[in-house]
Amino acid sequence: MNECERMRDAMVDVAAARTAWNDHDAAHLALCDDCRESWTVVSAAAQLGRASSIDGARVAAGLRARLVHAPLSAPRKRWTELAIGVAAAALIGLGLTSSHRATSGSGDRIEVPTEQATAMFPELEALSEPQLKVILAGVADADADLDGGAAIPRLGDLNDEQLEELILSVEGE
Amino acid sequence: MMRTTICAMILVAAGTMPVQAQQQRMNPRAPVLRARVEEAFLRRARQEMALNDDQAQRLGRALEASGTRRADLDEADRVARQALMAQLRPGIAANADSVARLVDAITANRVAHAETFRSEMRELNEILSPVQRGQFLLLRDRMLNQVRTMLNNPEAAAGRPRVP
Repeated sequence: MNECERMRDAMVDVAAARTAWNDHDAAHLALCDDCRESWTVVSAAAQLGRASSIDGARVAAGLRARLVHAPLSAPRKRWTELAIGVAAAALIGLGLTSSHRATSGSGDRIEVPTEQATAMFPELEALSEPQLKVILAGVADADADLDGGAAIPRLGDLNDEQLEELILSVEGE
Repeated sequence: MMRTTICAMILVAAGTMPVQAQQQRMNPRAPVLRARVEEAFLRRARQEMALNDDQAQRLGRALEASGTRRADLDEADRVARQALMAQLRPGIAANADSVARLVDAITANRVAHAETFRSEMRELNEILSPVQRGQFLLLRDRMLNQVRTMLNNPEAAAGRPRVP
């Protein structure tokens, strides 16, 4: 593996902030036009993945089309640029999937509702709606405990029979 | 070697998009529910730990920062593990270099995950008193243990209450 290949291999990790360029790498980037161009594409793609609303499929398709039709000086360079382009598209996908997001009803357009701007507990991502409701009830019940209301159920928690009993008791019958 | 690894990870990453979209369709209110869980957790932490306004705000920001770090690591781990599984499919010769690279990435990721816990506690040391920090640790562990139990328990996974 030559120096350029090693650099390109590291670009995905650096773009994802899992590692950083050292002085030697930075010097290489400053001197090597090919690597600098590749890094520009990969790092830009990583930034795009963090944006709030991106049509990932459209960007990836456009990038691929542009790379395929761009004038190329040598077959090796073409393969390299294609690989970098597809890697950039993957980074977009990674960035989008790692952030909280929602897809609209049709197509792959991705939007980020304001309600999900926070992400304190990514562990919750794996839970379904019913499971989240159970967790929420657990935390909310704890709130009631702290308020001294552990024994006081909410009206919404009661079934029809319990509600009838409550009405009868309130009405004094 | 490099190309094989990158291509495997690209295919895995590309494959995640439809899956995530499907999950979103199946659980359209999940993002809102997650936000409500986080709000309720912060409210409870504030009450139980007797936090003042400044502490509550700083705690929220610290949890968001560490949560984002963990989410990035979780995602990278998931992609790497799926790429590893793709490499180790029965009947297909694995690329030893790619497998080694993926195993190294997964290992480094797990160490980094543990490190986020340490750095989060270090950060909270500047926000909370030692007692509050201990309360927070138990409070969060309790919730996350419930999450883990739920994921490992089919009854709870369906959202049905467990029989006491």
